[in-house]
Amino acid sequence: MALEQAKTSVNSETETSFSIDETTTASGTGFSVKTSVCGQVDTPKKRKEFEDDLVEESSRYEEDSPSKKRKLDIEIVPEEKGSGDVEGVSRKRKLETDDLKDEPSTGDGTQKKRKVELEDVPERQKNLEGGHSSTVAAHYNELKEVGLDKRSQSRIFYLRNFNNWIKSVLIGEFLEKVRQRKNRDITVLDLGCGKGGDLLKWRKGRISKLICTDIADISVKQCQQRYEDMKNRRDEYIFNAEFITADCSKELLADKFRDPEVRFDICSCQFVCHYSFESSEQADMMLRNACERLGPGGYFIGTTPNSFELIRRLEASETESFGNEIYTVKFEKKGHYPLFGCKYDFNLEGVVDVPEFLVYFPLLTEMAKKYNMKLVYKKTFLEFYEEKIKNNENKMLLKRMQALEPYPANENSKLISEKVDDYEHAAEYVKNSHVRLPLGTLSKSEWEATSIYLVFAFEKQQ
Amino acid sequence: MTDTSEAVPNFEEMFANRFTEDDKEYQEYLKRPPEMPPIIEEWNSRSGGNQRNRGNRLQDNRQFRGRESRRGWPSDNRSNQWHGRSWGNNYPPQHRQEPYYPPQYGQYGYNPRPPYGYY
Repeated sequence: MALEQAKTSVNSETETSFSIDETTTASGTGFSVKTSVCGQVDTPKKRKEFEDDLVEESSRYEEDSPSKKRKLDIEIVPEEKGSGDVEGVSRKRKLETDDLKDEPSTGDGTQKKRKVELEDVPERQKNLEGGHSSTVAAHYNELKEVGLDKRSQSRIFYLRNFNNWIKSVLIGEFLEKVRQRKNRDITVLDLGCGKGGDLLKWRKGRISKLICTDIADISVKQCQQRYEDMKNRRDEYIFNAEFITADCSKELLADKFRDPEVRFDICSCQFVCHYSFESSEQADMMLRNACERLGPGGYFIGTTPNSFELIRRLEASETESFGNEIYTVKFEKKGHYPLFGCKYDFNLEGVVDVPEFLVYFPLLTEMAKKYNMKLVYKKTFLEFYEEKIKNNENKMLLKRMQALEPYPANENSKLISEKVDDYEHAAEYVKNSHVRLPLGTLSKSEWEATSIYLVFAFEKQQ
Repeated sequence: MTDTSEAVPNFEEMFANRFTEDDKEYQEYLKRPPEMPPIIEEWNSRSGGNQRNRGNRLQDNRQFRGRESRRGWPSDNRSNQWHGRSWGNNYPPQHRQEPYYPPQYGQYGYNPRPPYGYY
């Protein structure tokens, strides 16, 4: 969705700010270089917008941080797998917190780069991709304009960062769960990897093997490039990776794996699986790809629009659409919601309308049973946030990722939204006594866009 | 439609009430209060300042740590919870007194007592 796109742009903007901080402080620079490369490429993918960039940021932090390195050294020595696994638990934390701390130095680099370049900006549409190579190319070209667009893009800067945080924490949670069971050879399938916005997270997570797949060839290439850059960057350990361009709703991925017998501990599907709900066959193929190769106790985790929220907003609207200045959702019809093929257009930040399909979650849950999957939980972003923020490391990560906007704005800057109403909740909150400023929050406009989503997790039964 | 074709009809039947008054889960969802954006106090993110500041801040708040332990979340929190951190905030997590899903305002940092009107 648009969200992703937005992300991209955000990054670019972000970079600026970040760059300053990070660069200065840390070693980001080195990374930046790499990043930039990647960045340019990125454009096409999907909607990663939301997350990718963000993710990286967090990751970067993590990666770079000294502590990690140390660990890495130790680990690295052996083979990737071994090393990663060993770290297991500790790493997880790192994923979230540790890295961050250190990060200043390292991680930043990457993010900054991207941001700078704006690379992400355009891309959206990955779905389309099949026939959209030309579209993709067009997006690509648009990237250069990002700079100019920064402002508009930045409009969802915090939204993207917030989404990225959500993903980081989700991934961290389930890697930890996996590690309670096994500490080595953790293998992950990133279904709809886009340009690789989650690569750093996986690296942080010290997994041993990652298979990245996406429908958009350009995205996969960018993802691979990003991975190669990461690999060359430093001596740090990094997982083995495999990159596959395929439509996971139409093709059986297992036929394309280097090791036909590979088994995954986690399948991560971020902001993607709703595209497959165009038909029951596609949804089933997506689920098959996501779950069939999971080992017992393996997890299928992800983020997707919450159909309850979408329909609630739709029915509260006088028309077939709803939204605000950041996003709009337009259905074809109100009152009739087919289980499959219930199409709506999602527009984020004025960027491309990407057709998506409603996912009635109880249906997804039921369909997943075919692959022996049991729902662990589904939570709205707010529920997930409220729960996870209780963990201080998660909270620190939130800060590092700049996932909330300072309110009121610093002297030298302005709030991201010029609409006063966008901060009504914060203004109200400030009236209370004993409030320690600044607050961290999201503009209502951004919040409305991101609160459409939910987080889910399924576990493969024995 | 091949093998899935059979299943589809079942789902149609199974979820015939989706989004209607007979959709219990959906109806429960509709009862939730609107979700408000998260709010955290004492938010000094990186853009706002440099790390050094953050570090200091942490220490300042250290006293509040510990308060929070109340529940252990499923996998991730426990051990990480409040052991020394270098920066960021350590205010105790929220003190919400009500169920949490209608989470209105996320965190009431720092102050053990929620500000008026929020909890």
